[in-house]
Amino acid sequence: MNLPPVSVRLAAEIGTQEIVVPDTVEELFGTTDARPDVPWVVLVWDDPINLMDYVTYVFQKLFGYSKAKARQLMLQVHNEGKAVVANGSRERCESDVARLHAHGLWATMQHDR
Amino acid sequence: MSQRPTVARRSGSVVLTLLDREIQVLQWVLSDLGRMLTDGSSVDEVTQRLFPRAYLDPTEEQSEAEWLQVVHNDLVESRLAAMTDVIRSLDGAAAVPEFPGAREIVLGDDAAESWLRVLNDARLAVGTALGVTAEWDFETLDPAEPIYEMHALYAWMTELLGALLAVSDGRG
Repeated sequence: MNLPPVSVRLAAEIGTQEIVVPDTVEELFGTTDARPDVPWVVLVWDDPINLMDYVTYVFQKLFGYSKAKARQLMLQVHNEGKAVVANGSRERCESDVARLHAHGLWATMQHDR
Repeated sequence: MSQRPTVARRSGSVVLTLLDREIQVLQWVLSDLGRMLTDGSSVDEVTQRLFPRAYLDPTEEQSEAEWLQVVHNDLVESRLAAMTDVIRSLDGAAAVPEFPGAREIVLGDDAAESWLRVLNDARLAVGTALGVTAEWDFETLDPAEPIYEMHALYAWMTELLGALLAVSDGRG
């Protein structure tokens, strides 16, 4: 069975730093699509169980953020109930949501509007 | 003598010192969690918390189903793999001559990372089952409460995770 490229990427990404392998020439050299699949955002929601230090740790590990930036995002989740932690194509956001779920964070994705 | 779990850094490794009975309790918690993760049939609150939806929008039902089909097995497998790391390190716990009744667990970076994820999953499972809210405070609970012991277990796992996080820097 031929799995879609996203599954190959997800298998490589869950629990690890992201490895993005271009699938097409367009993706490698920049898209020529006049209607790019961009407007998606990944949200992380506040929950009463995840520790603040743990959430900070996950943001650092998954997105490569500095401790200061990761902590600032964590505080936004904590104080405002949610925060946008990533954005991009639908495929990219689906992958980020899966990586956040693998680390126990409550993440969802939606159109950026 | 202090009987609290201790976590320290020693020549690049994370060293955990746990009582024999704390190790037994953790093994029991993990076998329960492992059973729950591999039993795909339950759709209770705990399972929903460990495997939340990606799309909140109900009009994205098809995308949700497709996403789930692609990632669900990987999510289960990656959790079980981390759990296997933790179980293996518990099995390798060594007696501490100067501290009878306790054992020492030495963790490399990968194993320490697995411990963080697994302890967090265990807290998510127990905390969700207990209905823990932002106001939860173990100190204010009445020891006469019927499931006080489960709250104590949750508080202990929280303390242990906090101690492990204090010696991790998130840069892997």
